[in-house]
Amino acid sequence: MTAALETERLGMRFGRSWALRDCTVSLPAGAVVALVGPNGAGKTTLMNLVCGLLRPTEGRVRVFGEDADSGSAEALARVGFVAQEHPLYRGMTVAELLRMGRALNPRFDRNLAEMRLGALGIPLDRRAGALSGGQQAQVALALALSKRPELLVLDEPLASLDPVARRDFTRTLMSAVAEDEVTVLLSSHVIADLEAVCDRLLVLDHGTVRLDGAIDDVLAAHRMISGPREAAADVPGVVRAVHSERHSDLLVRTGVEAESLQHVLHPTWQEHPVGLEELILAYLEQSAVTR
Amino acid sequence: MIWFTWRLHRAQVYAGLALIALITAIFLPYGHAVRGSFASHGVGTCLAHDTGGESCQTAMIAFVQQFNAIANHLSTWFSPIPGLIGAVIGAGVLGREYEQGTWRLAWTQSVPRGRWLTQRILLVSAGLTAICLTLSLVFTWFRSPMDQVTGRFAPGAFDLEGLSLTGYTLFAFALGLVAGLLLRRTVPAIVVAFAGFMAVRMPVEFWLRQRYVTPASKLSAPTLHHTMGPSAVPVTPGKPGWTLSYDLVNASGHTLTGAEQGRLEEQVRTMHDPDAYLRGLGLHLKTVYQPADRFWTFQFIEFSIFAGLAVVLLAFAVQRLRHRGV
Repeated sequence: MTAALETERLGMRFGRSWALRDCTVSLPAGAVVALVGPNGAGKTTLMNLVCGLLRPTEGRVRVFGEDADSGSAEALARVGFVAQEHPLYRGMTVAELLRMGRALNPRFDRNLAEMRLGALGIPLDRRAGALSGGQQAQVALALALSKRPELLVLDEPLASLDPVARRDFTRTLMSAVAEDEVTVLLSSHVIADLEAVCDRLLVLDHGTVRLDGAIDDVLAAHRMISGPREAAADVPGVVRAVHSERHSDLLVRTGVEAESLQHVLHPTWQEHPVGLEELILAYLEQSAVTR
Repeated sequence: MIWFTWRLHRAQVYAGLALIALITAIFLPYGHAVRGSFASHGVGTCLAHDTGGESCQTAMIAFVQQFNAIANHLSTWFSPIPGLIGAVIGAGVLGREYEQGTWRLAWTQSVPRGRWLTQRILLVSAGLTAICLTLSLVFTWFRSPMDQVTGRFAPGAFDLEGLSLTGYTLFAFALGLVAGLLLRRTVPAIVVAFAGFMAVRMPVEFWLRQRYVTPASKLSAPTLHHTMGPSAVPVTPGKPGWTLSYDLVNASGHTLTGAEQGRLEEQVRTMHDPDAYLRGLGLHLKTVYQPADRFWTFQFIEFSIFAGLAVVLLAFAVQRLRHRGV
């Protein structure tokens, strides 16, 4: 099966610094992927490359097998994009934005968009600039979804929203994913929000991929263990270690068969499963330490 | 794209129509006044028969002086305006998209951004051309009695009539658009585009334009009684062209130097008939000029320069946007 999104040694340089380098990932169709990383990790660069807004310095990006930077109408029609701060033409009414969507996209489904926005109580005759932040985000999402894209890319869609708007947005997104079978790539700082929506994780830091896999697999493949400090050096596959005077907390990558860890470890070690947030933070901290 | 472009630029179209209405409202009554004065001074008859007579000179000078002020104001006020209009509209095309972040919305719809920009450029240029040509028509009508006396090469005439106004505006539009692309801000792009516009427009008017075609020259009876400049009243019959220089030449065809001419002027100051004295010396008056019938040639050359620069700049913008990413 063709991957929804495939990158091959993808690199993007701005001036002298690389925003993204040697990035090779393959995201299966139908996945909802959380793209996580600190500011400046290269998330937005990766998304702009996927949408064809940037041309890679090196490597390739393919969306359903077709080069994303070809810039062709067909390539553009396959990807829906909600950019950071969900920009809209503020002087246009919601109805005019939908008319724009229909004018500029071959498969645009205006009825669907009107229905979705109507259900959210967003007036079509209101100017976009006069809507609340949450409503603007919903309009931007409706525009992107009504393109009927195969891949939906959302850059920090929740960042500027209050908790209620955040919940509504996530809800709309989840029902759209269920109905349209669209593949989603979504970046966010708020890890808790991602857990409910996403089934796949891609951790990016300083322009390189730190972790890539289905969330369930990733969680199953990691354990948090704590035990005596003097024995900590013998533990294999440590992602991150936190030491106190006598005691060490280790995040360990075990491979999918987690049982094997018990044979290696001294009985004094205690083992517990790891949460998604803890895991992501561990990877980001690790890369900060090793640099 | 047509509806989308219209939606983004309709306020500018309304402003353009309002400008046309305003200009028409001002210059329609003024044009009638000019025509009234043209008839009452008998300027038309003078031009038809003989322009050299004392009474005709007086009549024409009186007519020109009556409207010289407004004609000059028109040219001084209106020469930067195409630059300003073009720069504002051009800078907004990409500058606003970048400033408001909407480029990420616009160029992720299903219209490739090169095509998106090309279509917007074509539609906006068409609108600008229509508005500018209409303004030129109004100015041409208003100025036509003046033009019969002072010629269509006068700055207030040449820069506003025919195709030149359109060429200037399109050039400024292209500069604004490219500046918006490179600077990603509207107001700095307007400033840069306007400065760039004036930096090309002024040398063309004051240095390059007179060199488009090798000027003609003619010899006539000598006189020191001549005036130069855009609002000069013609001393010979026929359509007034663009006089570049008057010089006295001697019998062997050599031009008198400035110092020699100055000395002559001293000598003849007190004479009863200085022209006869100059004739006696075997001198002739050499006029170097661009004939009136070259008006359209000059208009086409001027338009080609500015519109050609505009095409180059706009093609650069499209290519860069298409190939470089954003």
